[in-house]
Amino acid sequence: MDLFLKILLYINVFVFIYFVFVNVSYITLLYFSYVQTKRSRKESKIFRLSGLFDSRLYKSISILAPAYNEEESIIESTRALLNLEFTDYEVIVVNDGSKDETLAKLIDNFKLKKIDRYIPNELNCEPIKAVYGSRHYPNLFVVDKENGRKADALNAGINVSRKDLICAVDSDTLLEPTVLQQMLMAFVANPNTVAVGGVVRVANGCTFNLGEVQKVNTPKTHIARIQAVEYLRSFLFGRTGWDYFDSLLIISGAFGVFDRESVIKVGGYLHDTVGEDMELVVRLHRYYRDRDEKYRIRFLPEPVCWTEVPESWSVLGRQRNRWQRGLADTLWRHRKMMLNPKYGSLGMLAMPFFLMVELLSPIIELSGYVLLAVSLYLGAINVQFALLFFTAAVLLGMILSVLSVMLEELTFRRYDRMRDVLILILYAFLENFGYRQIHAWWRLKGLIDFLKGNKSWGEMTRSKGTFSS
Amino acid sequence: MIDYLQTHAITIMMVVVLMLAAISAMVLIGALYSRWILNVTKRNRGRKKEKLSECVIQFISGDIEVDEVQQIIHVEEDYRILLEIINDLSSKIDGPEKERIADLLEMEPIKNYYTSRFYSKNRLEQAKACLYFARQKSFHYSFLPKVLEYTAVDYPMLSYAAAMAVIVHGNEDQKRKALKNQLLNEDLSDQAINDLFVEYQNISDGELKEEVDIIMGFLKENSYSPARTALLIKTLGELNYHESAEFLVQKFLSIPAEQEYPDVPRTLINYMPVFATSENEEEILNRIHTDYSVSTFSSVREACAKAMGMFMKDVSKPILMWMLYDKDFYVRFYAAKSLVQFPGVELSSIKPEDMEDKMWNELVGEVEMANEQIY
Repeated sequence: MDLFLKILLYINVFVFIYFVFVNVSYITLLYFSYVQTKRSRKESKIFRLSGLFDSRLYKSISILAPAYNEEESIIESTRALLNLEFTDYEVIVVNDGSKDETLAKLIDNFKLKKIDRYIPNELNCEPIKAVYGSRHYPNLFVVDKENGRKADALNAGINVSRKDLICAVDSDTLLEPTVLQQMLMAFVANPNTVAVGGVVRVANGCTFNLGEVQKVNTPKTHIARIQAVEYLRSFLFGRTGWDYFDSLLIISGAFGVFDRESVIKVGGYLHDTVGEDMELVVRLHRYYRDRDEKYRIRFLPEPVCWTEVPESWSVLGRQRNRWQRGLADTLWRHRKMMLNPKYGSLGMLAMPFFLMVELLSPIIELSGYVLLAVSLYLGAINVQFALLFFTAAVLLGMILSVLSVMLEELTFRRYDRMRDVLILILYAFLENFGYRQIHAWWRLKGLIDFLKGNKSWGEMTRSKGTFSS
Repeated sequence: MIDYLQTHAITIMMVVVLMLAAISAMVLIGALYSRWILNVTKRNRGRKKEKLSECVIQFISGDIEVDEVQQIIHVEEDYRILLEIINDLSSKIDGPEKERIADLLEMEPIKNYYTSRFYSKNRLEQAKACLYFARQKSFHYSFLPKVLEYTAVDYPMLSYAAAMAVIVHGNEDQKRKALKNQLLNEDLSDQAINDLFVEYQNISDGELKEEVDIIMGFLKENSYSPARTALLIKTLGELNYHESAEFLVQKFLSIPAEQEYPDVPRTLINYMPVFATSENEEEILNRIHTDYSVSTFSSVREACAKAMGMFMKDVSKPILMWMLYDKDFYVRFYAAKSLVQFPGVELSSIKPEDMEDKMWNELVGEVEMANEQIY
């Protein structure tokens, strides 16, 4: 029994040290993200793109929007994509074997007709049944293909695309009109840029008109409000901080711009993973670092796209389970990079961080709760100490979340009203009770599912018309 | 130490929690306070901006002078608002009004603000100061040597911004030097260099001769990477200036047939149909037929197929027919597209005998679509 208690004590000490490590990492990241945000904002004002609308000497962009059973929102989101302020771009909607009226609605609304377009077989994908074009919308193409999931649809889109850059978006996201110009800046600023990510914000609760955000509000449901805080934390201090260290590992599948040739060079999106967005970014890093070639993968905190987040617990659970499996899969596939000095800060800093903090945290966190209960029951640790420790954890979590809300306040200020800020702060506090534990459970389940070899996507349901006026 | 920690664990934890609680309270109050302050600032700023905007519009209309604008500016923040208004308006207006609004940039406090930035150690701040100089009317020429020096630094944002200032205020030699430095800076993108050429053209009041001369000068030097040389050719080609025609044709005729990179021949071929004359047409076509339609680079062969369609000479027909067998789709596509430009040539009559139907249909579809301008 003594030995057991001793082991319990050591485990508790480990959990404590882990807790300190995680929070120190977050605070460090927060600091650097503040520095990087300031720097990015200044940098974004240097280049002018003065000839963008007069000449064809700037990079052109193909927007790829995979769609699977999106009949409710496809017309609005496609229209919004066609209204972006950019000179040379095409929109390629990839109907990934939808079972609903997605394709029919597109054909009907945009007066599409079947065209014989040459499609180079540069990346593997499921057979393409037809490509549609329209006289009325010369820069719109719709690809109808057999279902093969998102990565496959994106690869098909890349094959069909003919522009210099590709912009992968989810069909339930809405890009702000000037977003492509902002993203192009990264390619103007550095000719070696191969990928750029932008901020994804929660659209639930906001008002939209003609594909543009009219009023930014916090979501109405608890679950979406918590996610609004999570997204702020993840994008404004997570990714911006990693950009400072030139070690960005994730560009959200909902919104990212890539150099087309580079993506083809590394083999496109991987089919047999559910974390294809992260995996592609890590593969790009690995490809260029292995060859010692100059490259840059950036995150810009100014370009924004709006996405609809799940408002049901089961859908959210499936989404987080999938994200966790994607993370585990990517880290496992590229384990060679872990703690490998050849990959610089990426191998020595970012990957260990993602392993320890993002991947293993649900195991440690949930074991911490169980062991705490056992330890308390057996008297291995002091009740008072346990309670104080829990309070410290909640306070720290809250400080970090509130600081990311403040970072938003000091920089971009999309939320206009005091009420919204109060709501975000409140949810930064509330998420620690219940949601955090459930979230850890989803992620732990995701990890177990990964070990079991589960690669299913899980059904996602969309609400109707988030972007409607 | 461990004993101490064990004995005092609760006390230590209590201190940590109290500290965190204090920090939480501070952060919470800070967040709310900052929002309150930001709201107040926003309101005040809005009011000030409205007032200043009216003032600036009066100034542009000539109703008031700089001193009168300056009278309503009291603190540094007011200058920031004014700069915002100037930036915003500058992108929307043109001509004498734009000229007049630039006078506001000459206000002493704005000048001093950017001068201090120019002498700071931060490269980004220096870049911003250079961009300010680029917009100034009465630029202080004592800054020019330093600005010129900055055009040669590796940091692309500073070299670009400095080049922008030199293009606006420098003499021809200085402009050439600044642009040359950018062309040699591999960390600067083609798109950024294009921006500089756009600015160069703007300040020449639409007169193309100076820009054409400077680009031809660079091309004569033969000292840039193939990608940069191609950019220069493209820029020159886009200007579509008659004096560059002979130069580009001679450049095309003089480059060796064997090239390590496709950029230069491909770009030159693209512009040949535009600049060829009846005197040199035959010679150009001859080079396209013999040297480049067999290039190892598909992009060069593609450019040849495109160009032959634009020249539309019967002598090209057999070569275009032969190009229908090319391994690259786009070469086949442009060959077919060019062939159907010839009078009396139907798509159905040029199908290579051994081409698979699927492949042919794809080609036909693309050509038909291109002709219908569905793209």
